[in-house]
Amino acid sequence: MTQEQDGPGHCDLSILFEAATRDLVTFRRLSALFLDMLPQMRDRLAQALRENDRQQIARTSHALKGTTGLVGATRLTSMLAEMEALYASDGGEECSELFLDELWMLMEAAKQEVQLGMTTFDGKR
Amino acid sequence: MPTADVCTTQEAAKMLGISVTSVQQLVEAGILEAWKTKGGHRRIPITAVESYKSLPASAAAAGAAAARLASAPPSEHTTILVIEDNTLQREIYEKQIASWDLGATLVFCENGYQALIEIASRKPDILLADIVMEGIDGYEVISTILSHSKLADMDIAILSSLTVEALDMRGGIPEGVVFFGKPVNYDELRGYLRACCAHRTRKRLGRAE
Repeated sequence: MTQEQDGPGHCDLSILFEAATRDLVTFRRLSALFLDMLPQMRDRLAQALRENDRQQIARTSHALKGTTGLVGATRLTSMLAEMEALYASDGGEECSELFLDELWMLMEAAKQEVQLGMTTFDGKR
Repeated sequence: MPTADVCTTQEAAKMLGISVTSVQQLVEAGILEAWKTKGGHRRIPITAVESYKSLPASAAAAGAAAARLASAPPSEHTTILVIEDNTLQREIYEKQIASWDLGATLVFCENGYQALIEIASRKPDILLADIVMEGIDGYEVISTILSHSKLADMDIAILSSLTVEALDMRGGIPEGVVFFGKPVNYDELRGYLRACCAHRTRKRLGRAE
């Protein structure tokens, strides 16, 4: 199963599989780790946004970006990079509601795809 | 000293934004002042925590201790120290690097504090450092290493998803330090580490003759 064709924003699990040295057991362990980490990081980002803590938003989006990049979530990773740059600058600009809606949606999609991939991804193209 | 003027290891960890283990390591390295109660519980003066926290570069103090301690004899194997705060990325490095049969000892740290302690106790040959981390970041660790002649022999590479512009704003890539962007190209990293390990082995053999 490959999910590359699913379009931007969704995961390309072959990236994680390659990083796991094409070992399915490791791939599943890393997937489980991703699923553990994602909600915590998402909550940290949501809290930083509620508190309008720009430094924390930039730091958390940087950390999230590194994590989502590892599962090949291209669109999500590039949105987080955009967010990091925006909040790391002194311009005082903020993300729009629309942007955030898409961000949360993509995070949920990444979670579901990785969850599904744990049982269905077999490393074959 | 009144109880209000001291804190536990857990409280110090919270104040510094690091793990309890890191605080214990700082105490054991003599970087943070502390003593034990009759019951064996560690107590740390709040003034010590605050002054450590407020140092312009806490890394400098930790680094000074690191340089003092970095007189350990050279190891028989090449040691690679990886500083990475992302658990998933750490696990991937471990899996990848272990598969390359480098014959090297691999050590992981999740923050700059731990890294400086490890540098003090192991004097690694190669350092792979993430940049953006809580507390002492990768840049501070690298600057500390570069400022101490006893540590100057270390091969250092930055592994970061920061853009070139963001890196430039932080002072750029120090001379003699290699940069790998994230997502990491593992073929390139393998080539770099193989070259470093081969160089270290040759040096060790040369010393033995």
